[in-house]
Amino acid sequence: MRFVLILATAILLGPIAAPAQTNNAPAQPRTIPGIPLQDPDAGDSLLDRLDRLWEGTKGLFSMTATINATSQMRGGRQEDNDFRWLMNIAGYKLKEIESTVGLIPGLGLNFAVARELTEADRDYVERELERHARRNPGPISAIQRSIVYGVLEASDLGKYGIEKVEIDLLPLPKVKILMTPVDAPLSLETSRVLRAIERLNSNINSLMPRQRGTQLPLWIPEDAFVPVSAPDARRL
Amino acid sequence: MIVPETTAPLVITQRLISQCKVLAFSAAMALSVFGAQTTQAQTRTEREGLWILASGSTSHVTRELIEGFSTSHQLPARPRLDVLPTPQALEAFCSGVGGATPDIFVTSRRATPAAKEYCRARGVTEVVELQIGIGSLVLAAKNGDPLNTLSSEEVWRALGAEVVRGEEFVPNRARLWREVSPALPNSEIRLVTAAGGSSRAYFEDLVLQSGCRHNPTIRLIFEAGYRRSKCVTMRQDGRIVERRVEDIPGEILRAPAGTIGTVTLSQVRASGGTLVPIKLDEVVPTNATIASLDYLPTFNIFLYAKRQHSRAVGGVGVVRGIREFSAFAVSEQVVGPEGRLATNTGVVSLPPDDRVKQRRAAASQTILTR
Repeated sequence: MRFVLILATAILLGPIAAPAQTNNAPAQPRTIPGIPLQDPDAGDSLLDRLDRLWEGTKGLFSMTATINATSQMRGGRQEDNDFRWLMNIAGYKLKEIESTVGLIPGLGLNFAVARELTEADRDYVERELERHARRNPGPISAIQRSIVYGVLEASDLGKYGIEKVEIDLLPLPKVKILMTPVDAPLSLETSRVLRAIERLNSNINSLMPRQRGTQLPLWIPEDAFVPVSAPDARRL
Repeated sequence: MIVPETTAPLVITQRLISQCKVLAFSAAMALSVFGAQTTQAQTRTEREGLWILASGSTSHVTRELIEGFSTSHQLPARPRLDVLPTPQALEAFCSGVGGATPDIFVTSRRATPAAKEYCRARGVTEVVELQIGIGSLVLAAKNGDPLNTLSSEEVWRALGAEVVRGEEFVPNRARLWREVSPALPNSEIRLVTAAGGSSRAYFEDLVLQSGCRHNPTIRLIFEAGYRRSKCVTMRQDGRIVERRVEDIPGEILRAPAGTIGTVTLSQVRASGGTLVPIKLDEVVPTNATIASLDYLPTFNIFLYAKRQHSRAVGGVGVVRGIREFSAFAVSEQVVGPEGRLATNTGVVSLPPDDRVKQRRAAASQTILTR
C-alpha cells in the first residue's frame, strides 16, 4: 500500500520536475507548499504573568546575585545594588528564604541579627547608603535603602532590640520587623539555665574565703550542681 | 497777609489740611517711636552672644566659622565656643531650651534617632540640621617613599595589636611592610598619629575598623565593644609614635622610610610637596574623590541649631544671630569650592545641588524630622 502511494506521488511529481531539468530556461523560484509556522505561544496566561512577576520580584532584591571575582570591590565590598550586602553591613544576615508555590506564589526573605553595630559601623552604613543613593537613583533602589534605613533606625531604640526582619516580596510586598524588649522575660529553659549558673557561681564564691590565698580549685564540688528532673533534663 | 473774602474758606481748608498733615506726621512719628520701643521690647534677649558647641573633630571648622561670622557681622558679643566630646556635647545641647543652654552644635556625627528622642524628651523639639561639608583623614608619607599605596586591611594587619591566624588572634610580630603583603616595600612598619582626640578617633573608626570590618573571623564576633577592641587596639612595641596633630607632618619628614602618618588634606597641601598622600584602597584623596564618596575615610560635618532660641516668647528671646549664623555657615563664600572652609580647613565642598539645598534649609529654618 505504501509502495503504491510513493509510486503515485512520483508519477504525479515527475512531470512537474522534468521540464526544469530538460529545459535551460531561467530557474523559477520553487513554490513548495510548506507547513505554516505557528504563532508564538501566548505569554499572557496567568501562570506566565505570575512567573514573570516572580522572577522580576526576585531580581528586585538580587536574590540570585552571586559573588564572583569581578563583583568584588575593595574591602570585600560587593556590587552596590546588592540588597543582601546592604543588610549585611547593617548587621543582618540572610537566614531563610521562604518560597511558596501555588496559584498565588509566595516569597519571603528572613534576616536575623548577626552582630551589633559600633558607632563607626553605623556611620559606614550611612555612608554606603548615601553612596548607593548617588549611584542608584531608581525607585527600587530607594525601596531597598528605605528598608535598610528603617532597620538601622529601629535598631537604635535603646529599650528594644531587633530579633528578626522578615521581608515578604510576594504576593504583596511587606516588611516585618520583630522587636523585643531588652529586658523581656526569659523563656522557661533559659531562666532555668541562668538560675543554675547563678547557683554555681554563688557556690564557688562561697568556697573562696575558705581557700583565701590559694588558687581556685579545678574541681567543682558536687553540691554546686542542682538536681534536675528528667523532664527538665530533656528540655535542657 | 490779606486774604480776599471769596478765597477765605479755601485758605482755611488748606490750613486745616496742613494742620492735619502735621498732626498726621506727628502721630506717625509717635507711632514709629512707640513701635520701635515695642520692637526693642520684643527683641529683648536673655543672652547677648551665641553659645556654640563643637566636637573635637570639628573644633577647627567651628573656630573658622566663628572668626568669619564675627568679622562679617556686627555682634553685641563674640560667640562662646565650648569644645566637648560628642556625647557630652549632645547631652549639653539637648539639655533644654533657654539662655542657660547652648544654641548651636557642630559635629561630625549625624544625630541618631535615639539622640533626637533624647532632645525631644527635654523640650528641644525644633532643631535645624545643616550639612556644611565633608572632612577627611589622609595617610601620608614623605615624598619619595616607596610606600605610596595601601589598603585599609593592610594598615590594620600592620598596626593592630593582634592579627588573625586561622581562626585565632595572635600577637602581631610583623616588622616590615613586606611581611604584611609581598607587594609592599621592605621597610620598617611605623606610624605617627595623634595621641588622642578626634584625629586619633577618626583613624580608629575610618581606617582600622574599615580594615578589619570584612575579616571573616572579626565578623563572627557579635558584641560591638569586643569587636571594636579587636580592630582598634594597636601594637605597643614602639612602632606607633604619638604626637600632637600639628607636629605630625614634621615627624613624618624626620622619620625613616616606611613611616606613615595621619594628617588632614590641608596639612598635605601646606607641606608644599614634601608630604604625599597615600593611595588608600586604590583611591587617591582629592577634592573630587572625597566629594564623590569614592575615598572612604571621610565624614560629614553637621550644624544643629535650636530654632526655639531664635524666637521671642512673651517679648523675650534667647539670643540674636542663630538664623544669621546658620545662613553664613552654608553660604557660598564659606562652603563653596573656593570658600573659607575649603581654603583654611581642608573641608571639601558638597556638590552644588546639595549646597543649594542646605542654603534653602537654612533660609527656611527647616526643622529636623527624620
